[in-house]
Amino acid sequence: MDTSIPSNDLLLAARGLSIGYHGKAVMRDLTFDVRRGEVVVVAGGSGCGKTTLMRTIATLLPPVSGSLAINGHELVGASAESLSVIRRSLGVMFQSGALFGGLTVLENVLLPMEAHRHLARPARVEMAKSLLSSVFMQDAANKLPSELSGGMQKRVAIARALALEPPIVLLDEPSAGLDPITSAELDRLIREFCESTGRSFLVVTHELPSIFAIADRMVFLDAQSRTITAIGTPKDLLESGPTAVRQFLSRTPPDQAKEAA
Amino acid sequence: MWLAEVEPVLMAGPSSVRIVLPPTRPLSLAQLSAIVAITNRVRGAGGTVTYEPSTPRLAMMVRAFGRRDLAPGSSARVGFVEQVGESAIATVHTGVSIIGFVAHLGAAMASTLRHPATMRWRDFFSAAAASSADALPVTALLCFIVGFIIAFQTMPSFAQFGMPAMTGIVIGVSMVRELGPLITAIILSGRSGSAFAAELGTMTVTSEIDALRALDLEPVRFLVVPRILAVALVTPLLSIIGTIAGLLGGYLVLWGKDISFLFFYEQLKHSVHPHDFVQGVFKMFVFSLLVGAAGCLAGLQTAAGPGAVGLSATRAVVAGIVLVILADGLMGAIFYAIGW
Repeated sequence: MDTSIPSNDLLLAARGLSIGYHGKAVMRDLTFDVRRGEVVVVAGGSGCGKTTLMRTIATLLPPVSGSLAINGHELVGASAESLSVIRRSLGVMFQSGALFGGLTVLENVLLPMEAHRHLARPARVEMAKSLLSSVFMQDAANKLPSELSGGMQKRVAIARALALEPPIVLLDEPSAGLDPITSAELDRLIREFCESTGRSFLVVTHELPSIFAIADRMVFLDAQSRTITAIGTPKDLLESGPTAVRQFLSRTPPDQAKEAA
Repeated sequence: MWLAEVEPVLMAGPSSVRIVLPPTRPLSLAQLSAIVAITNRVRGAGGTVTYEPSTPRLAMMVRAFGRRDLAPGSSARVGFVEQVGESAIATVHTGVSIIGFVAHLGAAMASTLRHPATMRWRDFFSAAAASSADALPVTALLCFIVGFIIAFQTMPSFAQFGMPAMTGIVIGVSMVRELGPLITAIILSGRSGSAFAAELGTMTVTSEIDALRALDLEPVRFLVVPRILAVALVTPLLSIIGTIAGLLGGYLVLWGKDISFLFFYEQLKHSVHPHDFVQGVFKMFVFSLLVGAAGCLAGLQTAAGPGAVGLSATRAVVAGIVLVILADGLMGAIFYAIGW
């Protein structure tokens, strides 16, 4: 069941989407877009359903109800062929990096190309090396993931996510577990990729510096109401967003906010 | 609401208590456990407890959390019938998942055989080496010892009838048709089945399996098919070597009784037919498919948590051995029925 999205610039469109496990919704009525060439951050407190949303968009969890169109293809009720097309239009970086431990860094980046791109091997290797250079990991091409630091693994994971040149890239907690300098480097990389390639990024994070550094728009998931309570630029939301969003963006616990009031 | 705050009230032994709950927010676990503790104490003393607002869900949660058999220090008592029922349901679930997995695996294998270039040959050769060459010493040693034991146990009985040399026939038939493949399969389950479960289980825990799916690479085709094809193709050879080791172990006992190797060989030639040999190799082929599938399925079904990978490896070994013995019995009956 393919539903064309009229605008070419709408790479991801969720409409009344409910997500959850085993047919039971944990978040309801999610409606938001990701347009071409923008970085959208999905933020919210712990347990608000960010990772569930990420796994649903990455086609690893079936949506419970509603509509989710990715690059013009409807995910809800998608056939195996449509699912395959959707997966190839998404690049996914998992929180842990999820590099294949038995393969070298170069082989990790080559793997999706070998499976899905009909190019001669030298051309594939050249492309993979170029991707690794763009994340400053060219010198580690022949190393195993276990020989790399957490930040390096995430950079390689970003290179792998970009291997099929997908129009939309999902990043799950790219800054989690990284020191502030490495985290800032990664943020700069995401922004650079977005601006230089015109790709869209959907980034799940709750790291405030990252949100302000990379987000064109922010989607705020609220654990209490189990839905999206605000969408906007982080600056606008900090100034005039709903109370819970302002508290989140200004790192103010609810009880302190009450006292201040 | 803390228990210490209401303790003076409870000490007075009230005949009825009304608990007023927060209007909108869901109950925290601490609040729920306090409600359960108060309810149990008041009702235990013959009093009544009401909740405001009272919902069926809350009553159900209080009942579930308040069960004495779930209290710390007491073990949950499950009746025999309940245990049998739970085991039966678990077995049915396992059976359904295995059937689904086997169907998926069959399709993936057929597709790989049609397009051999898509096979992960590195995984294939690595699994082949690990399940054959690396397992050779332990398989040969165990088969040698089992052959020796069978000869040692059966020879006195034959000697009673004045036919100690007949032991060679027993060793030949049992090792070639039955024990050679069976022992090899059990070792395969302990070594390769558990290794597959641990490898794929670790990949599941570290999201590598999810990463494969997200890259539109089918984990069964990508990871499972090379491993299962590798064990299915190389372990029949391992079983042949194990069988030969078992025969030699048995002959060691006969040698002690001054029976010549030439005589033993002639006995084998007359009692062990080519179809016995084919039967043994075929059995080993089936066993290796079962052990490989059980190991990979356990790995792919690994749950979250620190002990999950170990649990998957254990499940792989147990399921592998159970399946091998069931299949052995089934094949034995079929071969007998068709007179093979």
